[in-house]
Amino acid sequence: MVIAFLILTTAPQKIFSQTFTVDTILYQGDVDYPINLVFLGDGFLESELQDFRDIAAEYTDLLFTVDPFERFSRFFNAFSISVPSNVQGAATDPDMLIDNYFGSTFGYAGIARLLVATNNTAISTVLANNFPNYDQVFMLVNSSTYGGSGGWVATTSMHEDSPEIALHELGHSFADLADEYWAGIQYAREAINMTRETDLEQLKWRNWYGDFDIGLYPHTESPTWYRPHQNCLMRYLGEPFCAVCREGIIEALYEKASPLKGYEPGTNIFEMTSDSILFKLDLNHPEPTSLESLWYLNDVLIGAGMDSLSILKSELNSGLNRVKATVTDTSYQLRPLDDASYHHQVEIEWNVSLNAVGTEQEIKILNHAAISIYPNPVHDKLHVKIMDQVGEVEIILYDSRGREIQSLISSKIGTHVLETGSLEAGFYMLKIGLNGKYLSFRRIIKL
Amino acid sequence: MNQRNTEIPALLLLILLSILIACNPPKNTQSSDSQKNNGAETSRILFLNYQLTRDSTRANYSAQLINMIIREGTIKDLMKEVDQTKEDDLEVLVLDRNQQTMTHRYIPNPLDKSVEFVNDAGQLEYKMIHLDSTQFSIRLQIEPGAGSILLNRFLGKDNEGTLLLKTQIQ
Repeated sequence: MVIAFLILTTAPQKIFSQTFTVDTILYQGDVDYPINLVFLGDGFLESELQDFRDIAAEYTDLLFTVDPFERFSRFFNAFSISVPSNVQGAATDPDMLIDNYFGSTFGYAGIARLLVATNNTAISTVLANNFPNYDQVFMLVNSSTYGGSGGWVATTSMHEDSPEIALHELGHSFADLADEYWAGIQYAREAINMTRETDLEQLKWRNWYGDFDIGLYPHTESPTWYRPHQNCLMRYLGEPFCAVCREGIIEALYEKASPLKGYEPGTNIFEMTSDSILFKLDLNHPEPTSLESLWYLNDVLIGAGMDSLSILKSELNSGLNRVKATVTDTSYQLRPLDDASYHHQVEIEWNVSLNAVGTEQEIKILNHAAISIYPNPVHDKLHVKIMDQVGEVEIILYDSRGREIQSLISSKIGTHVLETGSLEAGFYMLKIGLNGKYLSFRRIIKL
Repeated sequence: MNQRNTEIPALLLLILLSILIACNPPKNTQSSDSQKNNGAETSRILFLNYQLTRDSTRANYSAQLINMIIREGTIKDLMKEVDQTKEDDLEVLVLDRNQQTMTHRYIPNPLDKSVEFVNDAGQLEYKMIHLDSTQFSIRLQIEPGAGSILLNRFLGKDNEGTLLLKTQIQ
């Protein structure tokens, strides 16, 4: 009895300071840039750790077969931390834990399939000591019994259907998606894929409404709450993510790992030693790419679809010139609203003085919060609203080649309307200025 | 008789161990896990593990630090705000060395744990589990100048929260 007591009281402290073997499954760059997936295993004996590593690699491969992750493997690293357990598998009763490392047990709260790694401190400490920069943690439990659970650690067993649980949990932890089944009123909230809004003009997934089976579906158990789809993975295991959730995941992905990894010139001041300047973007492209780069010199479109652009001194005006690149993911999987900040669109701007020895540059993430443009895609009328407008607004619509199509100047406070019914279908750029100062460029889709 | 002679030293050892443990709470025993940053101040990641307990009336809460680990680096996904703060959620404040608040977050009450699972019908289901005691972890980005962490129990917007624990960042 004394011996047992000694083991129980000293083992955790010995364990907590340990470091373990960290293996790379997928490496796309330094841990500070891509999203870091980290796999832990529980109930694997020392002799079974290669099995754990193989299974973690299989899970990683599986993740990148699932839409939308399949296009974004370049945005992820994946690692496994090999932690041996003294006893194989998981307990079946949380009151009778076995000597696995992270305290994994089925039957949590009396629910047979509820598999939970109960030793939160061990999980946190192993991560801190071995991979503190983790972004998403998976716990693989060495048992063939079906089970799993959510939370900050997506926990699954080795049962063949269990990865579906991990994907669903990834929707929660990675993109903050709500459940699309009715989980209970205490879990109901405004989320990417849950709302009480019934006005279709205000609906957060209005740009998807009517396509890809996206609608406004009331929860039977509480009909004032709505979901966008009837058969999304956030409702049923085995189904794909619906278009709304897929878009939410991509936005979350870009929030964590911008498509713009770097840019040149990368210094604030540099000598202009030649007759031309090369501007270059270091972009992380999805596969296949859907990033579209547009280049502007003094607000005139001068290039598209290029990651770099050379500008001659002779093209510059005397005095201050502005070179700007916008990068937008133009995938059909994204239909952003215009009243929120988005991460799939970035803007880089250099201010180049022809007669000075240097340039200044800054990187700006477009602040969409102040401007509302709807609908987009547009049919007949494009509405532009500038919050807290004081003064004269200028709105200019350009076609994809940079030609001005129409413009509007107004001091009226409220919503401005552009007639777009006669325009050909395609992409357009909308430039918005206020009191002579540039505010924003927006990409418009005309249907 | 021989049996009695072996039981007494064992009992004494057990008592001695209990005293040693009582005098050496987890906060101190784990201090070796903390890494001091003696050089230039950089962004660091702070890991805190707590034991949170409430009594049978659920009126009184207590928290104990299990361990604290500091690593250099940055995290991409900062701790998200809870959507709807409710009574008994926890408030986490990072204070600078002048006791001014640097960051402020709420986290759901770890003792009222929501768990999602697949039921016998193969359907996803949520369940709220009310615990008397649990461990929970916090990972925080701490900027240069951070001095301590306050863990408060939130008692509603109109009430002053109660301090559960103040932890110096070592």
